[in-house]
Amino acid sequence: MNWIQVILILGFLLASALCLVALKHRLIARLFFICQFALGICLTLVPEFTSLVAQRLGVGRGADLITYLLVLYVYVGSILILGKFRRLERDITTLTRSIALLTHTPPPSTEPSRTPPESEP
Amino acid sequence: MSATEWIIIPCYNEQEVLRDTVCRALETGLQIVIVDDASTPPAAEVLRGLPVHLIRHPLNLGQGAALQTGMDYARSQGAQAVLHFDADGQHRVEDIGQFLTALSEGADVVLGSRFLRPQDSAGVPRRKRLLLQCARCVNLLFTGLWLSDAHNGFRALNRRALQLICLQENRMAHASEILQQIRRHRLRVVEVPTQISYSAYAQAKGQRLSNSLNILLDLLLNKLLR
Repeated sequence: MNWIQVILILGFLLASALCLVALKHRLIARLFFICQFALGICLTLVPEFTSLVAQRLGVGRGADLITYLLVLYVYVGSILILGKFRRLERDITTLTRSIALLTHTPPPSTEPSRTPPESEP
Repeated sequence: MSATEWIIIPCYNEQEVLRDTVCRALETGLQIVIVDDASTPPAAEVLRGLPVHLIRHPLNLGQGAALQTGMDYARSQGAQAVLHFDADGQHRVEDIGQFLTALSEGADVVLGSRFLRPQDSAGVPRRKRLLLQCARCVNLLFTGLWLSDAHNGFRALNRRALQLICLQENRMAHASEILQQIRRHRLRVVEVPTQISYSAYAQAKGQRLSNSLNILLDLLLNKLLR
């Protein structure tokens, strides 16, 4: 085994551990990322496999195939994250609006008196 | 004061002209709600003593969000009609009457237009006119509505429109989104002529080309990531 394979495998294992900690209570997301990292480890251990698939797909080199897939992955991931941000923005808007409506100030003439009524003797 | 017709004035850091604008709007005798979109210092400081309803967003969200907050509030207070009015003083209070008349004649939504009378369009700076023509085409593409003006913030909505329209676009893209919703809900639209005052202040605060591109991107994102 080469040093680069050791470094990559350690990297994948570390990423898996972080993923397990960060994605608490999210089984599907955990499985998705763990499968990805497991695939990464397999391809690191058997690099000939990517070359084989690349040749079948007409790409040539396994490294090129990985690069193309990575670009695609980053694009799709970015769009998904953007969608998540939009949903978060919507939630923040709803929350901000609710707070604003609860704390509105009516015109001075209709504003109820803020001084407590004097207690009768 | 009429409790059924409301003027909604969203504002963000408009302290310089806000009190003037609100004082002019108060002459109409309509109810006024100011939506302060987290201005610093708060708009309440310049509005002290004025008989207006004041709502303040704890965070800056954008004009579209402020308008929707104002509409939610007016609806909860039983408003039968609302007007969107800019805080920077570029809309004329004298034009409000014709918006309300158009509503009473059966329109669900009344949109102000700078291009219905030659004297109004003559006042629009040339660069702005060109930009607005492009915006009209974009609006046609996204909404299917071919109007004489685009992104004119002076509008009026009746109760039905107020209940149906719900702005999701927080920033300036709400002006196109509102047209999409008008189309979707088959609301009756009428355009009325309005004059916009392009003061140095309003021009400095106005939309730039980069903002127009941002609006276009927001609309695309809204379509893709709904």
